[in-house]
This record gives sequence, structure tokens and C-alpha cells, in this order.
Amino acid sequence: MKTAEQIEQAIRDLELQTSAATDERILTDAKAALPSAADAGEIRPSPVLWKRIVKNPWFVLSTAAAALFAIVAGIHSLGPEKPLETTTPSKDTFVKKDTKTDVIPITTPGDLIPQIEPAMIELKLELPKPVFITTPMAFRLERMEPLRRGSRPPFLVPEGARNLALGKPVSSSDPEPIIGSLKLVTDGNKEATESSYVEISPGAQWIQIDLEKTSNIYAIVLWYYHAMPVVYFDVAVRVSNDPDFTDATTLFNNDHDNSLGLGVGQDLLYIETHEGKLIDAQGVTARYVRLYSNGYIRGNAIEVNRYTEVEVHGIEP
Amino acid sequence: MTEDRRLWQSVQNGNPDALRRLYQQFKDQLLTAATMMLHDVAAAEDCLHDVFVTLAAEAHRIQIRRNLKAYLTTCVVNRARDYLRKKERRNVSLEDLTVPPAGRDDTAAGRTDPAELLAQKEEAAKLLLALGQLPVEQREVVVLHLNADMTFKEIAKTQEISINTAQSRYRYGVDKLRKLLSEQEVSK
Repeated sequence: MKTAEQIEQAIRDLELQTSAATDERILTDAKAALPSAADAGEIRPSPVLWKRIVKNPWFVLSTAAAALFAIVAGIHSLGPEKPLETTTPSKDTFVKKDTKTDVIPITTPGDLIPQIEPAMIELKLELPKPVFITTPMAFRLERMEPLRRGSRPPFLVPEGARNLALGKPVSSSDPEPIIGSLKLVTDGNKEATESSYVEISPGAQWIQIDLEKTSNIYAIVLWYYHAMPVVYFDVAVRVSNDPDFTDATTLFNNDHDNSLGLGVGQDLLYIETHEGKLIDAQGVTARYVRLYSNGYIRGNAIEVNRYTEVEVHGIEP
Repeated sequence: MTEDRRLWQSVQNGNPDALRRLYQQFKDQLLTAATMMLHDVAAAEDCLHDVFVTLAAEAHRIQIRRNLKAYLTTCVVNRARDYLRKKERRNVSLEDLTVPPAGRDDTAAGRTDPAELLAQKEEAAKLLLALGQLPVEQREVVVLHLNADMTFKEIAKTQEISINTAQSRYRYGVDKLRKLLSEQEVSK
């Protein structure tokens, strides 16, 4: 077996040669394209390749973020802090802190809730370390929920619910990841480090978790990629008892232009944070969970799909 | 002023001889980079053609601040990626492979032996086949680092990814090449 060094050297040494005919064709066409000195002042559209190199959106962004921070810091020092008003309703069903546990907080269609109502307790998540605190101004996307201030309100699940996804098999529309392996999605590590996520191809992709048993699912928590403030496009969460998802229930969908082909989603875009995105699964019965994404936006660039961790909180039969 | 910059300024001034020199200086290295990306010599030649024609047409407004080799290879790799994205990703099979032309220095001492030349061609074909099986994102970083001698910092900047991402993609790429090439050895 060759060592990595031998392979690196072999690639460095690899040299091909252009044919005379190719040389002729390229030089003739390139010379014809060369503007004469007289044309040199003419303004032409800039080539995309070069634009990619010279335009650094992060410089602009960081300047804007610094300015925003200065303004926010100034406002804070002037008056008492008010809670952020959320004008856009979230699909997540949140329960206020003072709600007594004998009140069933989630209203669900009758066929979705289990026969016997178990006692509801607060879902305790082990959160990874946060690695960023501000939101760049670039994320003024349409139909996006504002970044929550403070931590997520308690979410109630039946007693005995646990993360059923931990260590379970993961498959994907892209079976050969670019970085990492699919099992990282259910390995329990959700820190924002380079070794904790799997990176799969750009474009619309999905990953799928097999819970191995048909179970009652109450909450699905997604950490796609939270090392920086990013917004994933076309996030959808579906569950099914069929591995091919011919008959599936959609729990969340923010694909506003139906690019996934699952129907137009009504949910809002959101910014990835260390708290993850909690989806209320309302006790739905399913064995397979499929998570969709279509790249994330960071500055001007559309990036690949990354999945750090997915937790599926539920009760096995 | 560096040699690269002087040459580029001549091209910018519309000097056809400078364009020819630029082409002669980098053509083989760029063809190699394009073939590594596209796994098909004819497509790689088209890619090189597009890059040089665009460069010639836009030369007067492109300021090259860094070395020409890194800039040109980045152009070739990005063009190749666009080409691959339009087509299916990772659609390469052994039948698709155009056997690359002989390495340069064919006439140099010790490399004129036909058997040796053939072995060399086979070696190159094997390597290209393995490269063709990497995801495009890994291939890009491998080509820019090894073929264009770019640092991960330079790659991160031009490809708009983080340095860690560039390094991770590279590491996974080389690991996968190791696996692919050892499988080839076993299956022989």
C-alpha cells in the first residue's frame, strides 16, 4: 500500500502535455480575443472568476457587524432591557416556564397522541459550546425568524422519552461524504469543531436515520452547522415507517419555492445556533427520520450541506 | 517587479508574443490540473481554451497580484468545476478515460524506452482514475495544493472556504486516494 506521501509526490510529478493542434487552436483564439491597445480603456463586465477572488464579503460583513455591535451596545447602556417581541409565530410549540406539568401543553390531533397520557417533563438537552454571539447584518432574509435572545423556553415531553437516534444507522442521498462520515450525525458529538460534522455534496440533499423500531417521536433537534451564523435553505423534516418515504409525514418545511419537490413549506428560515433547531413532532409514530437541506448561505456564497448532530427524542414501544 | 508581473503587464498591453509566452510557460501544468479535475483530456483542453480566451479578452482589467501559476490554476479549477456541475457529478468510469498523452521529456535519456513510457502512461491513468472518483470539492483542494503548490491559506481565500475546511477536504481526499489506489493494486 502506498503512503500518503508517495501519493502526494505522484500527483506533484504527474505531467501531461498539450498537443500541437491544441496549442494552435488555443493560441489563435486567445490572440483573436486579445483587445488591441486602442480598446484597452473600454469597460467590460468583470469575469466571474476574478470577482470570486477580489471580493471579500467578510470584510464588509465584519465592518457592518462591528457597527451594529456598537449601536446595540449603545442602546443597551441607555435603557432597561426589554424582551424581544416575536411577531412571527413559530411552528414550535413552546410552553411558558410557569406552566404546571399537570396541564397538557401540546394540542395534537387525536390519532397522533399515544393512548395513555404519560406525565410530561421538561426536555433536557445537553448543548454544545456556543462559538458565536452576534448576527451579521447580512442575514436579513425574507421569511426568517429573528435570532432568539436568551435560551429556549422549556419544551415538554412525556417522561421516559430519550434520544432514540443516538448511535443509530444513517444513510444519505450522497453516500460518499466530502468530509467526515455519516455516523457523525448520531454519535452524540454536537460541538462546533471540524471533526464533528459530515459534509455532503452541494444542492438538495437528505440524510436519513433509522430508529430501528417504530417509535413515538416527540421532539427532533437539529444541529446542522453552528460554527458560524449560517442559514440553511430548504430545511425539511419528515418521518415515515417506510425507508423509501413513499408515505411520509412532514413535520417541518421551510422550502418556500418547492425546490425539494415536497410542496411549498410554510415554516420560517432560521439561523443555526448551538441550541439547535427543535421541531415539535407531537408524538408521531415512525421508524425513519429524513432531514433535508439545500446548502447554506454565508455572506455571498452558497455552501455545501453539513450535518453535525440530529437527536430524535421519543419512546420505543 | 517580478517576472510574472512583467509578463502579465505585456499581456495586458495586448502583446501577442507575451500571450504566447504565457501560454507556453503554463500550458502543460494547467492541462494536467484540468485533466485531474475532469478526467478527460479532450474536456481538459476545452477548459484550457476557455480560460485562455477569457483571460486574453479581459486581461486589461485583471490585476494579478499573486503568482500567475496560482491564479491560472484557480481559473482552470473553477472552470472545471462549473463544467462538472453542469454535468453529473462523479460520472467517471474507466471507459470514459482518455489515455493521457505521453509525459514531456520523451526524448530525454532514459525515458525513450517504449515499455517504460507505457508503464508511465498506465501509472498516470491510474492516478487520474482515482482522482476522478473523489468528490469535486476534495479534488479541487488536492489539485490546487499539489499541482499549483498553493498553501491552504491561499486555497481558502480563493475558494471562499475556511482553512480548516480546505485542510479537512485535502486530508479526506488523500486518504481516499490511498484506499482507491491500494484497491487497484489488490484487484490486479
